Amino acid sequence: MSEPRDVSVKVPILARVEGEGALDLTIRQGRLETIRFHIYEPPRLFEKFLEGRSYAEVPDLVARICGICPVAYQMSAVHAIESIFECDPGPWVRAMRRLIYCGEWIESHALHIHLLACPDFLGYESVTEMARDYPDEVRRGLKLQGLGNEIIRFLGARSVHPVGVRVGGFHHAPSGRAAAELLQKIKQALAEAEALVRWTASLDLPDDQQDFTQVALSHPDEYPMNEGRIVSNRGLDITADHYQEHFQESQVPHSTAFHCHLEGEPYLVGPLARVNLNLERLHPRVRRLLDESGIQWPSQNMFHSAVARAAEVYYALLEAERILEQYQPQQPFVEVTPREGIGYACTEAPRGALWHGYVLDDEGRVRRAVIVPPTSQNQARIEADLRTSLEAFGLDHSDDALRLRAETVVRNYDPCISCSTHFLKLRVRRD
Amino acid sequence: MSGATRVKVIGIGSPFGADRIGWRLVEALRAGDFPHVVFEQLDRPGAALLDHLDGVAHGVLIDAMQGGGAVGEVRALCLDEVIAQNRLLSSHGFGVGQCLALGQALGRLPPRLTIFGVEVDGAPDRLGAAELARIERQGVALIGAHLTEIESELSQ
Repeated sequence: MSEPRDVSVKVPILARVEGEGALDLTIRQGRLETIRFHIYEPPRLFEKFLEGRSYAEVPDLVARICGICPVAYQMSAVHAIESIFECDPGPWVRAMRRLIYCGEWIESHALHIHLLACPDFLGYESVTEMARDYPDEVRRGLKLQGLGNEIIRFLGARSVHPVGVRVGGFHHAPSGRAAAELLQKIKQALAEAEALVRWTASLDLPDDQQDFTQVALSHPDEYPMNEGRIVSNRGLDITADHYQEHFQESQVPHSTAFHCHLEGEPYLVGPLARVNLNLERLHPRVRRLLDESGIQWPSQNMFHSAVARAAEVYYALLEAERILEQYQPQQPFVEVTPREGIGYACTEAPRGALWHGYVLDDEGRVRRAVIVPPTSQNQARIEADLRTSLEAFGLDHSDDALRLRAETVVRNYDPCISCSTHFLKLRVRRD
Repeated sequence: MSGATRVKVIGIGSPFGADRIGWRLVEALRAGDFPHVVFEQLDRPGAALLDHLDGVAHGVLIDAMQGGGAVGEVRALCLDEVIAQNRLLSSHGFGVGQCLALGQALGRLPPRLTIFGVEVDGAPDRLGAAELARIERQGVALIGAHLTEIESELSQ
């Protein structure tokens, strides 16, 4: 047997994540001593930008936090603010909020599956290389992503940083004709979404069973998007206003993003946690596909996140179809009356639970805002997963093999470094 | 306008700072006499740029770039150069270069594609109104001449 080596490996840029970060591994005497998932993107200070702003400006401001999941920021914000104003925008707005969220899940998941994660699973450097051998799959992914963007534009006017959302509802109700055209496209895409689930389930994904806490919203009547209690697979069951009693954000020296823990422990948010905790709320057609996938659900294999994302793409298309089949243009918002107070909301961003808390003054101006994005919540879990995954993989592998495995593990979480952090430089030290 | 002769000029960018230069140039060019040309402004389209190029016979892309040249320099870039160096500014890690590489791999690029990069040197807010106006004049002259050539070809 060879002696443990002292090695230093640096990856200048780790591609295919949203944002810029780095990863330091220290291997001493053949044992993984430290793992640090660095997020060095400068703090973006959105919570401070919001202070002093009117409630009416908040949806457009928070949409700027992320180009991939702006709807999630808007949804958490308007729900938190409306809880302060004691405003119920009614069933039409509720349905449309669900519809625009469907669009965001579809575009974000299709992007991650095809452009970011699958090149890892199929052994390619990038989607460009993968497209030469899997052109039909990549075309399908781009088509689904485009359709998700179109659903966002239907209500948000544009897909990047949409501007259609307001406290109390939407600025505009699209025409029945526009809804019918969109519905037609969604119906035509259903077979492709179904094929996407089967395809991801057929991928040779790493078998990496781990024991971890999972957190998601849960709603008695529907698969969770905008509403529900925050639950875990270990008995947590709370409303959004009790979030800070259980979840603690803390700063670590190696990251400009907070780490968030649940009762001091890392936990997972995102599509795998959502599917695992809400299997009974999935559309029967999606559930049937998962049952036929050969995967045991709930799954403790983080790499099944790809299948969970595909299942949610299919679910979101079916849900969008259901909503649009009943669509009638209506007054798209209710007037609100600003009042002083504190409000909280948690909604399900594509990458997982997104919690917002606001303190407003009597004119509805923001006194204080706290935003906890999914990537901050997953950051500690990513570090824990890296330790388990790399040790299971074998630390005596070459630096290149270790680097690729580490990148694959991190990318699998779909971290948005722009929300909390960009991608990844890897430095391995072996002493 | 038939699909076969469709010419589209796309300004790529975002609403603020130097990244808006592609949009500004499209706004200025739109006022010109280019009857065969469709103009579009896209806000960080990512891979969706390919959707906007579908069915286009001749695409013209205008985007800000950081190529180390003089600020305001407008250059025609070849496709291979853009793909290889990916100097055009991108958002969320999937920029114009990667999108065009993907389009090439999928056979989804227009038969003719011209790419203009405007050097911004990452210093958008330091450009004054006069400087921006100068860049705009320079860009309109260069890209406008290219569009005039295309119009001339289509008129024959």
